[in-house]
Amino acid sequence: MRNDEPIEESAPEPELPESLARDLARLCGEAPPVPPSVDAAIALAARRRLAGIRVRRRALRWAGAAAAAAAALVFAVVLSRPRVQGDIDGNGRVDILDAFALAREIEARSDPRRDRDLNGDGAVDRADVDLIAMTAVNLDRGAFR
Amino acid sequence: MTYADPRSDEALIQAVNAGDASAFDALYLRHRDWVARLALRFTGNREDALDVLQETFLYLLRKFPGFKLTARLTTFLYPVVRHIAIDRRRAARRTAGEDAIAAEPAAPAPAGTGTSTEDLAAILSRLPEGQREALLLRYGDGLSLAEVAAALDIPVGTVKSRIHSALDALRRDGRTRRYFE
Repeated sequence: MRNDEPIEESAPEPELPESLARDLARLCGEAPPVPPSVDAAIALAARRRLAGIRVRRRALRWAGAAAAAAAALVFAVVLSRPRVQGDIDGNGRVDILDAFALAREIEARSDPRRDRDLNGDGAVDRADVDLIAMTAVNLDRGAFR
Repeated sequence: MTYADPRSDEALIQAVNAGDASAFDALYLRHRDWVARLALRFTGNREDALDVLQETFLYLLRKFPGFKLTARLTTFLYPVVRHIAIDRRRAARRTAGEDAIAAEPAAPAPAGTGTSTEDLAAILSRLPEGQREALLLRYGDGLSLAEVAAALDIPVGTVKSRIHSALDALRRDGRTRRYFE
């Protein structure tokens, strides 16, 4: 058999005489004594290296928490803002841009959202756009029903 | 550093990945003697073996964070120890001004004073490295066949083949034939 020629993986493991196994174990036997200075050097290197990881992880945790808190704050502000009827772009006020926005929405969609029916006539159409425009220029405040 | 940590190697590695230095201490203590023994086998002298030990664990340390263990830690450490030891031997030979650089690891030094072990060590030193290492990892270090295969990066069938060849060589040699009688 050539040295590196593989044999079947299912083939039985070579049997080793007990005395040979014992002597092989003895040959590999005792580890050389390791001075405390080597242990200490490795422990110190580990602390130096891993301290960096801990700092980075802590910073990441804080950054994550801060980002989550900021997102929650923004979300809360947005949610707590009173909804203004006719405020199509959601910026908190009704202006001429909302009229444009609704006009574009009506053009773009065959089935505009039902809550865009601002005059309550059952249809979302040009009349709703006009209503927003009038409100925006203060001609008829409170016209929404 | 004298305590034995009950956590598995996998759990310790996970802790080291999170920055736990005491988990690295535990890994070091658990595998230190095996690495030192292996390093001594490859280098043939205690001073170099201790340097190899240190470099091996510093190499392992540099793997963190993000180290994932896919086999036993010993099978990960074996080629590291071997490469570092061979590099040191090459460097030493260059320093000594020798042209030929042998990559063969040193033969294991007999631990006892019995003649039989010395004969065995002498014969092992003449075996091809692959056969010697397969035999010593399996029966000296107690790794399973699969672990030896992983450490040497060869199929299990090749490990068995190398062990067979090594045993044949020992059986043929007059100084070690008595093991088989």
